[in-house]
Amino acid sequence: MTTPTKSRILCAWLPNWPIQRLIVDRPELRRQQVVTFKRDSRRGQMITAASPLAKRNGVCIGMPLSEAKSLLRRGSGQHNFHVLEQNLNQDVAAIESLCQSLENFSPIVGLETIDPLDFKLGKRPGALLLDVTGLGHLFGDETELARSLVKHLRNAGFHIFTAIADTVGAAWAAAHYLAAPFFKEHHQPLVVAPGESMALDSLPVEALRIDETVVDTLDQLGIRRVEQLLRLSRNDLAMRFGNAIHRRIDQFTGTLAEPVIAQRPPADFNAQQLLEYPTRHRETIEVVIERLVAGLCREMRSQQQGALQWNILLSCNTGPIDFTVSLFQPTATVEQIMPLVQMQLESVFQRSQRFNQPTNSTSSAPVKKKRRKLVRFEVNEIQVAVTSHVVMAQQQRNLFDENPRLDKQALSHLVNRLAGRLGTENVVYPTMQSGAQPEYSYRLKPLVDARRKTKRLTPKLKPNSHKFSRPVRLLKPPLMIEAKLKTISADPDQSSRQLHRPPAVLTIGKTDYRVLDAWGPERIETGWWRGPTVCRDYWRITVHTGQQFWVYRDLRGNRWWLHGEF
Amino acid sequence: MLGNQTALNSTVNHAIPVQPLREQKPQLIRQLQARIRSAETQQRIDAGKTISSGCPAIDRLLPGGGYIPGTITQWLTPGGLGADYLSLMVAKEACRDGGALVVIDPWGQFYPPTAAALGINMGNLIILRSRQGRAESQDNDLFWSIDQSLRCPAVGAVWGPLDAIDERWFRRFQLSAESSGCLGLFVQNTDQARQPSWAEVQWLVTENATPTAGTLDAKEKPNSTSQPSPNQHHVRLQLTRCRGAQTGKSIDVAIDAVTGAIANATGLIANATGAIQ
Repeated sequence: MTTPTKSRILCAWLPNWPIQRLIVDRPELRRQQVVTFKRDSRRGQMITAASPLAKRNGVCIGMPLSEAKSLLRRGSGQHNFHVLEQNLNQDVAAIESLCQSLENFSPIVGLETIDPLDFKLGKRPGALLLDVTGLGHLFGDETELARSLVKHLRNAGFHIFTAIADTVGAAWAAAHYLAAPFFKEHHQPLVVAPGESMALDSLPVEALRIDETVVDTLDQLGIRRVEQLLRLSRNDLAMRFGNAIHRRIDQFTGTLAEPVIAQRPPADFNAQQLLEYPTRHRETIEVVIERLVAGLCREMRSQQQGALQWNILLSCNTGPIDFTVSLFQPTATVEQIMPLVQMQLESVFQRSQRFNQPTNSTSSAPVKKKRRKLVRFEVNEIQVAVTSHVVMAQQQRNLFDENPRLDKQALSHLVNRLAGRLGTENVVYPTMQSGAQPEYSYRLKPLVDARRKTKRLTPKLKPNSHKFSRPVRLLKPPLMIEAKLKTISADPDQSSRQLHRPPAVLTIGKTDYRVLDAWGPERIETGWWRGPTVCRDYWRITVHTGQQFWVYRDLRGNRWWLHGEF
Repeated sequence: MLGNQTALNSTVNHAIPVQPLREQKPQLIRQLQARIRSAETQQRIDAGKTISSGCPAIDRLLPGGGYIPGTITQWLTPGGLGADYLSLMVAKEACRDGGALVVIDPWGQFYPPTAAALGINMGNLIILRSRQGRAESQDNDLFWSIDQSLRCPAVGAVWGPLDAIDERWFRRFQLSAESSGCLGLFVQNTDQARQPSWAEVQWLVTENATPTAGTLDAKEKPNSTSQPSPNQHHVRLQLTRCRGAQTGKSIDVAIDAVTGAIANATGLIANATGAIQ
């Protein structure tokens, strides 16, 4: 039934990816009850992912957050759980960076494709795909290749299931539905022999990556296995379910080709050097990198190109080490690039030569008893690639440019250095957003972004009635404070009016502040599309110490918060 | 060094030959102060140039009639007393010639819309955040970034709230600022007052107890010209450190929330029409 193909695909499935990512980022969350939630405009805060421990206590995906909290409290008997807002961008960025770290196993590493509709609904890739055609013998055989990959990812703290099959569809299905029991039984990754597909026919229809509604309909018709579906007439299926199900079946069987789309396409400018003897001398490594960078710069200059991002990969005995150098403005000058490379290399050396703590997630031994060993890596090969480049527009500098403040080149070098040291995400510029809620009235964007195509623009601002109506700094998150109002009158009309008056005394921490003056209220009622409507009454309060605070009363919870100091 | 001193004395003696000693003394001190200052600051770029604080009364307290480019200024405050605003206004003035403004934001609290409302050029603003989310003396990355920013000739001012600054880092900041002509403006808590400082100017921002307290709800009471407006923030600036000026001097200023003007508060309150100086 299946067409024998020469391609071999490895699928590595990272179950419950958002939680796995959080645990690897923050190891203190390991073996804890962790849930992530999203804000839905109609349903409020909903659970999007939960750790196994939280699931064991009854938390389900799609459950309201309040319900999940009560289950977690009941399950743990205390407040020992973590609730975090989902961050889809970070989820994707983390899996993409994981993708790049696997390029040592295959030159073509990609992510599973997500239907645009599912993507809109918040579904994100959770499986990696590697084209391992003809690569098995480099590691011994395909089983050894898969085993090395599993070891690599488990050492990094991830929990994965892998399978190798002829097609992307078959490998995905095997990794999701067969790899776990197979590993339990044989203690090795699953490799479906070329041309062998019979084992996959007994899988549930969900293994074909078809829509949930179609799965439900098929279930109502009593079709639950792939083999049952394959026995049906294709015309009947097409009439009932459209072309999508056909496409998935053909991709599964290999009738329709489905290539792995590489996450990082091959670089236009790259160079590599194999070292005769492995070395750990930083100076030697720097000299080799400089030589490779100089060659690439010459090549780029001849094509009037300037690099915006460089990637340097050091193949070591302990595994690959790679780092990226991003630039604020395109350049093809070695003198500008090398200091940034040296800075990154320094941090790589510091990181790698520190005492490396083993990251075995399954170990339950106390941290103190863990053996620490010094990792001494030796570099065998160095690869340098330009991962982002643009046409470089040369600009002549003024001969008598006396104002050093207008030296854009000096500023560009500064931004490059800062981004190299602090990280691109920590060197940012603001863009203004239209939004009444202070937290959402601006957005910070990295200055150094190889994907940025547009020039930074100076935002046009609407004139405000008050120049200094907001503090220069806002507390993140706002600080809950106590506020005492004046005695409320027995008259209901009077008392409701007094609720909209400023407090007489504020208690911030353990200090009481007598309110002398107040300006407000400034009502902000917005954000229904982000979840529950934000409804706040802001006051600018002058207290007896002369300080001015920006406080608000949350009209939904009737609590007072300190949002900033003037 | 010795040769310079001898030359200095001989010049002074030659300049004031016949006046009585009592009259000579203050003039002599002023001349010596000016010479010492010029000897100390001759390495600085933009020598002789000053940056206004936005309030002439404050400028008059400073020796050159404003902040000298290539120096560090500290603002010590318990918070909520307008130090952020006052220092940011100086940063705005320092970047008027097209220089970039680098904002150090270790706690991720900087609120750009306020800076934009104050007239700071958003297209020339760079915000640096700490990797660790806090600025500690161990956070060498952030201090290194401040140093690099102060050293860059294309940066007009580096502004930011900071915790304790290690003495050696502070000295490096001073030298870097001096080499580029960049102005460093750091807002710190008052508990840092006893720490060693390499700042040229250090302000202590405290409450101004002079203005009469307003009523609880200003909206309900008709606007009285003798009372300070609720839109005004009255603070006292005390010069606790300033090279070439008498320390201990203080000034009461009022920050107007509507116009953003900084004015000498005593003058403002005395003036019944509310005209801003």
